Amino acid sequence: MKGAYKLPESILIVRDNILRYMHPLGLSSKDCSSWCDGEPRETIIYSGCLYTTMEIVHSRGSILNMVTSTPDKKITPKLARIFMSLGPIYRRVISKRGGRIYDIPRKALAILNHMGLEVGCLPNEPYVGVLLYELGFHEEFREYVNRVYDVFKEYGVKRVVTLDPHTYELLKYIYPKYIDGYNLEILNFLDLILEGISSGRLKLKLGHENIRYVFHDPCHYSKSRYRKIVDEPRRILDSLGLEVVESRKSREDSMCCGGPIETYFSILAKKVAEARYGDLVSTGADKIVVSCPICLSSLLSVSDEESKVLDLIDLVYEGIE
Amino acid sequence: MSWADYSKEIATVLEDEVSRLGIKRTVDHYEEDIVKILEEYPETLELAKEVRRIREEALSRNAFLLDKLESKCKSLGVNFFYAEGPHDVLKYISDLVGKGKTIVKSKSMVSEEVGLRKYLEKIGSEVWETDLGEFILQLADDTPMHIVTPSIHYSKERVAEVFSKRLGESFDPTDVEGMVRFFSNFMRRKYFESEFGVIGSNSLGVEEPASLLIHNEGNITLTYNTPNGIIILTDLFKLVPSIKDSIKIALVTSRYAGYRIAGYYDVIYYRSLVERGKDLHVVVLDGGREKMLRDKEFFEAALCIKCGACMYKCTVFQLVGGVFGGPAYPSGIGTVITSFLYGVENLAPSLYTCLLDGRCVEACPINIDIPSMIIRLRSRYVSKASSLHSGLP
Repeated sequence: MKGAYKLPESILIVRDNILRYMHPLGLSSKDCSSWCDGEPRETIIYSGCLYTTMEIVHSRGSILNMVTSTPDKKITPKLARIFMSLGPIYRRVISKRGGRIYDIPRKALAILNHMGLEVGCLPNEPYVGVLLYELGFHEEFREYVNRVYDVFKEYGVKRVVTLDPHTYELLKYIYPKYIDGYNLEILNFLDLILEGISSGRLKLKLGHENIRYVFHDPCHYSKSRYRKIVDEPRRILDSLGLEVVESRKSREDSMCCGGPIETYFSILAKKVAEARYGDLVSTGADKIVVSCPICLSSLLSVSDEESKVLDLIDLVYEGIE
Repeated sequence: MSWADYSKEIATVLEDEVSRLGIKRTVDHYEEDIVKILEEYPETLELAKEVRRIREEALSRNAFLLDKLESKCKSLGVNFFYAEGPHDVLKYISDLVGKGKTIVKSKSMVSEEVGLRKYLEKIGSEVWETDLGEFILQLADDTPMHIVTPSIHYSKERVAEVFSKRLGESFDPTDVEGMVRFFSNFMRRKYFESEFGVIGSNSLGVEEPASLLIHNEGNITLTYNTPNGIIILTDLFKLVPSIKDSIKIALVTSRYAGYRIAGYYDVIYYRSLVERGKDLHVVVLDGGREKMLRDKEFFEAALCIKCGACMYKCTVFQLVGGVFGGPAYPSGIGTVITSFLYGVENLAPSLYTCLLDGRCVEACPINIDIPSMIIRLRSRYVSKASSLHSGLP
């Protein structure tokens, strides 16, 4: 065979940043929470810092690309570390510009509060650790998620509402394997919305005429090994009164957005995103709806028009009567 | 090879329009066909579940089946050889064949895994791939893109170019039939000149030892019928109690490979080959597989029946083909299997190319959870690589 491969620099930087700053790009937990305009409560929305992170990846992708297009030796390791750890600078970007991805958890909180649910958020939510887990740093992941768990405990959190498939999967199905005595109740935002609709606490209407929507299933919902979520987002779109078309690859057969390999194979990741975007657009739909910040960032980065890709939360927020 | 070289390989395929279109055409057809096939034969889903049970049971008593196969072979007068690693396969077969011989060989992933053709050529024998797709790759000195359809990255123009360059006459790319006819005539001569035929096995029933082989070109039947010496080269995982099990496996394999009905399903009883005076050798390769069977976290990968469905449906494979995965076994499942054959540290870039999107699990008739195994392998790689990393810059 071809000889043993060393761990590439881009992957090591991600690990080191998460362990050191609790964030892959060196953002602080306080920065992660800058969307949060509520108070800590027993039930909180936890974004896993994914929306904030993807806002940075989306707006600062060109800088990160220098590190991520090839896993090693593209630029010197020292320089790569600097580019990948510009947390404080990214914070300034966020606080100045805000940003549509970054704004989504705030909208989710507003929706739940509108429904009369007592839901808060943390002033310093840590990053959820998905990259440590997926990149295979499982010993480090164990240590890390216990630190995250301690933050929840510190605030007396009992229930966590998650907004995206990765945070949901990790908190509900993976964390319990790594944390002794784990006792958080994990709720999915989509379930709460559907409950709100059926109980009448949430009245939705959008009814955009002559606009067709297509839903891009996130892989960790549609092909989950634990709980497959495919009908729920469609039922929400239906409640909004929208015209929905299906892509050639939808539901369990849907296709990845490329996001998972963006950290080290960004060129291939972009090809995947382009292929997926092409599929979705070929349905003739005017708008693409996603339910994952990683998909949102990936598809936005290849879209011809930024307003074409939306998060389901954006639509629900807009549809509140 | 470095990570940068791997990225370059990926970039090269992405830019190679002929390869890209070839792969796309194949996977698009597959995605349409498999839906129709499963609608037409809905019982395949139940049969696939049964095949999983058969495979689980057979693999859980693999050592017993191997012993039994050995003793059955010996009592039939069949030469049986258990090969621990690729080198043992090469040594056994090259000692047997020697130099200056003509060997015909059908498509076999185990032969690809051990590098049989190139090795025999190096020691001075002539080896011919009797499968058209493999023959093209042999002439082009290229490697297979997929385990069922090896040369999907070749257009007819590219084939005509390779044929013209290597066979000493010029071929018209628009005359596909002409090229196929030439190939058949060329190969017919080779069959009759050959002293040995090498075939694989899709599955091997131990009770009354027999191999089952699926093919579409009829070449395998000629490969084991024409020469006097027959070598069946297979691996540990292929052993099942009886040929009845093999038949069920074969049906599921060929349907999920995208064929309503394959061209041929040959059941070859070793007894009948011996009775017809053939010099039969059965070579069973371990090559890291026994280790995999003992490893609870990866046992599931051993259930793979090599239909290739997961590869066709893999998002990354659809873009870059067999660059992703091991050299003989591409894609996610290939990465898992090859990690056991060659060591996980040699597969690192492929391990990290996987999107973990789970399309492969949806596609797999046996429902093998490939992404979870990829994550576990990354974890093993990280532990192993950390010890390689004493001198970080």
